[in-house]
Order: sequence, then C-alpha cells, then structure tokens
Amino acid sequence: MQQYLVQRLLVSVPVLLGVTAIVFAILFLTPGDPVRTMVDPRATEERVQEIRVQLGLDRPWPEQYLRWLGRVLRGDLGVSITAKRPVAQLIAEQLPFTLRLTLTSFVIGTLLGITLGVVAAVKQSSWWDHLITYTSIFWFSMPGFWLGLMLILIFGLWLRWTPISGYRENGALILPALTLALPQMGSLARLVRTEMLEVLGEEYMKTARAKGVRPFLLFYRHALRNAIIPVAVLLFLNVPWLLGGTVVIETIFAWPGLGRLMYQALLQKDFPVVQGLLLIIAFSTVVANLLGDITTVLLDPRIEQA
Amino acid sequence: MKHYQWLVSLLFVTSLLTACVAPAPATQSGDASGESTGESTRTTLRIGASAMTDVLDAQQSFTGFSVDSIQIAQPLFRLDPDTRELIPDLVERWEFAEDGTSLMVTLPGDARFSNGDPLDAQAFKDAWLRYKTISPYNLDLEMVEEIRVIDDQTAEVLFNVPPAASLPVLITAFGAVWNTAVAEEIGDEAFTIAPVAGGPLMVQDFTAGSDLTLVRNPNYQTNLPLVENQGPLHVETVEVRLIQEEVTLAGELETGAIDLAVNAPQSALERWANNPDIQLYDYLEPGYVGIAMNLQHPYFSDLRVRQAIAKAVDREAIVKVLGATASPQYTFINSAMFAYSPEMDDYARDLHPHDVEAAQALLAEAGWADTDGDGIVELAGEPFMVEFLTSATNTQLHQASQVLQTQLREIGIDLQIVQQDEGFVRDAMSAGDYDIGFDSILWLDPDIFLGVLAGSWRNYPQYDNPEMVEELTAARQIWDPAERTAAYAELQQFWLDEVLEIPLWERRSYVAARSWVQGLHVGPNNRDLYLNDVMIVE
Repeated sequence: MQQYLVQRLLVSVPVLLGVTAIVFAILFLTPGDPVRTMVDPRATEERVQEIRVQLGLDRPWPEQYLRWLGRVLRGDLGVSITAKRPVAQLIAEQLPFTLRLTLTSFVIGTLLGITLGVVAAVKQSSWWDHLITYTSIFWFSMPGFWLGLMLILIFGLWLRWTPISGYRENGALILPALTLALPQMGSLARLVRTEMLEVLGEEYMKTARAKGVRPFLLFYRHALRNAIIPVAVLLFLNVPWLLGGTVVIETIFAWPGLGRLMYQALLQKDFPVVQGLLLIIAFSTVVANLLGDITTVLLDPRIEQA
Repeated sequence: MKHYQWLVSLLFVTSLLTACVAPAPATQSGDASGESTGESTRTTLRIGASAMTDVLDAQQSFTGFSVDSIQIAQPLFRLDPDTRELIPDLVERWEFAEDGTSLMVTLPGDARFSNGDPLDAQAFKDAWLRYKTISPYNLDLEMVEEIRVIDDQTAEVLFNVPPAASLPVLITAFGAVWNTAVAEEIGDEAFTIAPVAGGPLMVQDFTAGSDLTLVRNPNYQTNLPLVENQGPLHVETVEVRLIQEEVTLAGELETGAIDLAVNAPQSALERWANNPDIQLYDYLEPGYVGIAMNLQHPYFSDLRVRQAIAKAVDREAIVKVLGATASPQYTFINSAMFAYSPEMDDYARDLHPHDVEAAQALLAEAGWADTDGDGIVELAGEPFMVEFLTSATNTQLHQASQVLQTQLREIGIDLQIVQQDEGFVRDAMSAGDYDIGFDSILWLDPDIFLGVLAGSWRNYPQYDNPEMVEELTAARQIWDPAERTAAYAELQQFWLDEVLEIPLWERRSYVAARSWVQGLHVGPNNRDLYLNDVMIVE
C-alpha cells in the first residue's frame, strides 16, 4: 500500500508541472496585451513598455515561467489586476463559501444517489425502480443553469419557501446546493443501480440468501460493499466537476465563491486570478484522482496487486 | 397508466405550475425624483446591483463609476439632472476663472471625513495629488499644474489647459476627496477595501464580489440643492448585493428581498411598468451604440458604400427589438452629453434618412451590381460579403446584429455575424483586424472622440486625419460652453458627412425601487443615486 501511494504521488508531480506550464501559457495564448488591461487605455506605448519591464513581462518566456513557478511554490499567486490585492488572499476569502456549497451538495447528492440506486436495484422492475430511473435521467440531463432558474421560479418566487439568492439569510444554501446535488444524485443513482444489479446476480449473493442472511446485511454489507468500488471512484472524480459547476451556480444565486471569482476574472481579463484559480482546480483534480485510486485500493486490495 | 406516462404527466404539471407564476399588476413608470410622505418603518436599505467594484477606493480602481464608491466619497460638484450644469456637493462656493485656467474652491469650515479627520483644503489637495500619482486614470488630471492651499477652507487649482474634458471625472468618485492620511497609515492595499472619505456612507463590511454593508456617516454634510436633507441620511444602513443574473435580480425585487435594483433588467421592465408596487426611474445614458466600419477595408474605404449603409439602416426597426432601453440616435453627441447641439440632430436625420432605393443607387454608383441574381452585389467578381464582429455575451447587440443583417441584405450586402468574447472583439477592432462591427460610446464629454475616431488607443474606424486630431485637441481646451458646442457641432458635421461611424441608438437605463422607498433621487445617470431623502415606509 505504501509503495503504491508513493508511486502515485511520484506520477502526480510531472502531471502538476505540466498543468502549471499550461496555466502559465494561457497568458500568452489569450488574445490581446495583458499589460494594456492594467493601464489607462490612453497610456502611451512608452508607459506600457515601462510597466512591462516592471512586471518582468519583457523577459524570455522560459525565464518568466520559472520565476512565476518559484513564486507559486512559495504560495505567491501574484496580485489581482482589478482588486489590487494578492490572489491568494482573494481565493482564501472565497474558498470557504465554495467549500460550504460543494460539500453540502456532495453530501446530499451522494446520500440520495446511493440510497435511490440501492432501492431501485432491490425493487427492480417495480414502479419504484421506474420512477427512480426516469427521474434520475431527468435530473442528470438538466443543464445546471436551467435547473437553477426553475428552482428560483418555483421555490423562491412562486412558493416563497426559500431565499432566492445571497448567503446571509437562513436557507440561502438550499437552492444552490440542490442545483448542484440533483444532477449528481441522478448520475450516481443510475450507476449504483447498475452495479448493485450486477452484484446481486452473483453466485455468492445467492449463497448468502440461501444461508438466510438478513436483507439489510445482504444488501448493505455484502452487495453494496462490492458495488461501491466504481462509485467511489466516480465520487472523487465529481469533485472537480462540482468546483467547475459552481461558476454558473454561484452567479445565478449570487453566492460568493471561487466560481463567481473565476467568472469575474475572465470577464475582466484578470489573468493572475484566472491562473491562480486554474491551479487550484487542477491541483484538486489531481488530488481527487489520487484519493480515488487510494480508496479503490482500500476497498479492493486486488487492484494494488494487479 | 404506464410508467412513462406518469413521468410525462409530472413534467406537464411542473411546467404548468411554473407558467402560473402570478403576473404583477400594472403601474406607470416614475420620474427621477420622489418625496417622502410618512414615517420611516425600517432603517436599512437593501440594494441589488448587477455590477460591483472590487476596489472601493476609486482612486485605485478601474471602475470608480459604480453605485458603491460614490456613496462613500463626496465629489466637489455634481451635475444637475435637468440643466446639466455643475451644482455643488462638497463645496460651499467655487469659481472658475473666465478662461478656465484656475478654480477657487471653498469647503465648509466644519467638514469632516467619516472618521472625524478634518476635510479641509489640504486634504483636498492631497487627494487630487494622490489621484495624479496612483490612479490608472491619472491622465484625467494631467492638466492640473498646481494646487495652492490658501487657508483651511480655500484652495486654488491652477490648470495648464481648461479642464472641460475632465469634468466627467471630477463629478464622480474619482475626483472626490479621499482621506489620504488613512491611506498612508494603513497602506494602499488595505485602503482598497476599507477606504475613508466624506460621503454619506462609510464601509462596515465588504465581501469582494458579493456584498457591501455601508453605515450612515454622522459627519456627512452636503450643499446639493437637489435634496431636502443636507445632513446625515435618514437610513442607517445600506446593504449592496451583487446579483449578476437578471432573473435573480428581478426575483429579489419582486419578492421584496431587496428595495432597489440598479440597472433594472430589460426583461422585467414591461412587467414592472404596470406594477403599482414598483417604481421605475429612467435616465438617458451619454453616448450611443453604432456601426463601426474598418475604413482601411477596400469596401468601406469608399464613401458611397458607407453612405449606402447609412441609408439602408432602419433605426426604428432595430430599437423595436431592443425595447424600452433604446431609442433611435442619428448624431454622435446625444442630449445626455456635454456640447450637445439639437441642430446636429436635425442635420443628421436629414442627411441619411432610411431609403433603401437611394442606398441601392449609391452602391450601383460605386460599381456594385448583382450580376448573378443571387441577391448579393458584386464588384469585379467579388461578392459583397463581410464579417460582422460582435460580442458573444451581449444579447442586445446580437439581436441588433440580426436585424442589421436583414436590412443590409435588402441592398445586397451579405453580413456574416461572427460572435466572439468581448475582450477579443475590443482588441481585434482596436487593431483593425475586423471588417465591420459595433462601437459603443458611454461618456459624458465629446473629448472621448479624440481616442475613438482619431487616436491610437481605440480607433475602431482606423481613421487617420491629422487635421481632425488638431481640431479635436483644440476643442478639448475650449472653456466657453457655447464655443465648445459650436466646435463639436462642426466636427460632427464632418463625421456625419464622411460617415466615419453610424450611430444607431442611445441607451436608456432604469433604476427600479419598491413603492415603500420614498425620497429617492436619480440622475442624470446611475452613478448619481441620491439617498439623502430616502425613507422606507412599508
């Protein structure tokens, strides 16, 4: 296990380095002069060049990359062009909001998805199964933007059960969390159902039934334990998906977080912020993949031996 | 019933329920001022805004025109919404020299910043010098040669040229008096989110990109003639929330979760115009949205082609699609701008009226003809096909471009609409890497045209005329309003004759407020949200 972990960590290093190179390259690939976004549009070319030299943007790009990487490794993600404050500080301020939203939706989506998937598998071909299957497809297929607006219209405007936006009022988290959780719940429920049906059809399950194992133990200790392995991987892969999905959801619900920060930074061409956020997302994706691999090994040690 | 039929029924019922959101009853849109009629029942005003600055200190910001900064700081002057003349805000008295090369200001003797520091002549001088040093727009004050402190209340500003072109800045948070002593003490970085100034409100809490809580400044006083209450506000707290999504902003106002929506979404205006619970305050934006053609492009270098396009355009049809937020405009300087000339309105309207036949004749005169009968004119075998570059995120511009496409098709021009990121569009058009597109001007002073039609920093038409640059440079230095108006009228006539751009529509923006918000004054644009007399009477 230790060897496996070390191996995976070593493989992650070049992946992360590659990501940093791509993130850095965005500055050069994006059309337009980034220095021009930092100055008065009436600034002379001499003034623009002066700022370019000040920021080291006149240096060859490999040198710029290494300097930038050095700062990143020291935790310095640069200064936001529009906010005039360290990018790391901006991210630290907004991160708790995104974590609150994504963790809540992750928990809701996971619990509901697994539960519904198990019920659908256990009650195969019943009206429970059909209801869960079709509604799962519905939730999974709905674009987040549309789903969020529909929830606002129904529960916020018409029924007035929940606040529409913001984060300060009680219940403000409900609609944005549901908007992120419901598609996740839909995809998980379908996957869990499929895996459970496969496991329930195995010979050892028939043996367990024949031996008189109680249904609860049969389904949750024996069947789910084996069905959950691919699901566990998907759960961790959902983490970066959730982070990316917050761009739309946080904007619709006026929820302060990294998603909205990214949206604003892209609109304003605030490159240091965009780069910093991309690094965060890339890093979390690599870590999520790593955790997914470790979890898989813990659940099924045969994978490590293979 | 089969299982899938249950699903269909469920979907149908959900759609039906959604569609049955009760429409609001009708009301008329309001004027730009209100009166308080009762006792205040709540002392917190909640504002929803579709944009919010990340930097509250306007002197360090790129976006100092936002609704938040102007509530924290206090400029020397403002603009009268009706006459567009300067009116006092912070100043007690002021006097420009006859030639505009100096300005004497007298501040109230007991003026204080929100933290109690004296807001005197020295503080004013320090603030403007800081602006010259630190602001990304420091060129706005490049004409300030020297600021002399005469006594505690009085300062004299000496200009190397009259500051007519800089007035749009001086009447905003950019030109306001910020407490530079606090900025030096806590550092510029900290001052971006916790600035101190003398405006009606002061910062209590700020979450960048989300919300701002302001509390009443007990030291605030003003000389604004527009308002009854010239001391501290009636409301104690103002909460500003950033709500970018239109549906969300509209929903929050309709449910009463916010009291006021700045930049009211167009999609809700028709609904709110007939809603007695919502008041609409509208104001005209300075500038226009129009067609910019790359004059270095071989097709558009021909004046007859540009004239043909000007005659093919039907502004009425375009503004019909855009709704209440647009009205036709023919001139470069509209009535919301300085140096506006009503005579140029008439001249422009008569010069290129909508006339498809005349447009076709002009193209024919330029050598364009539809030789193959496909509806598109050709010249030397080349069809008149050009790319219309527009922003992918601006729905209004996209709608207008589609109408334009149809209109130009009538005269045989094939417009291929290309949508790109806004930044890409701006850069491409500035570099001349485009055929034809939209130009959007939003500025109070016609000095903007020095950059837009002649300069090197945003000259979408790629027009090069040194003589015109000289005239524009001279016009920016004219102080006498009548003389300035005449100079810009002459320039406008040239621009219209040469069809350097084709103004299409002027923008009208709206502030929407719940009926319980009384005493609100708005205008002449949304940066001027006067909360002095506001009371919440529910």
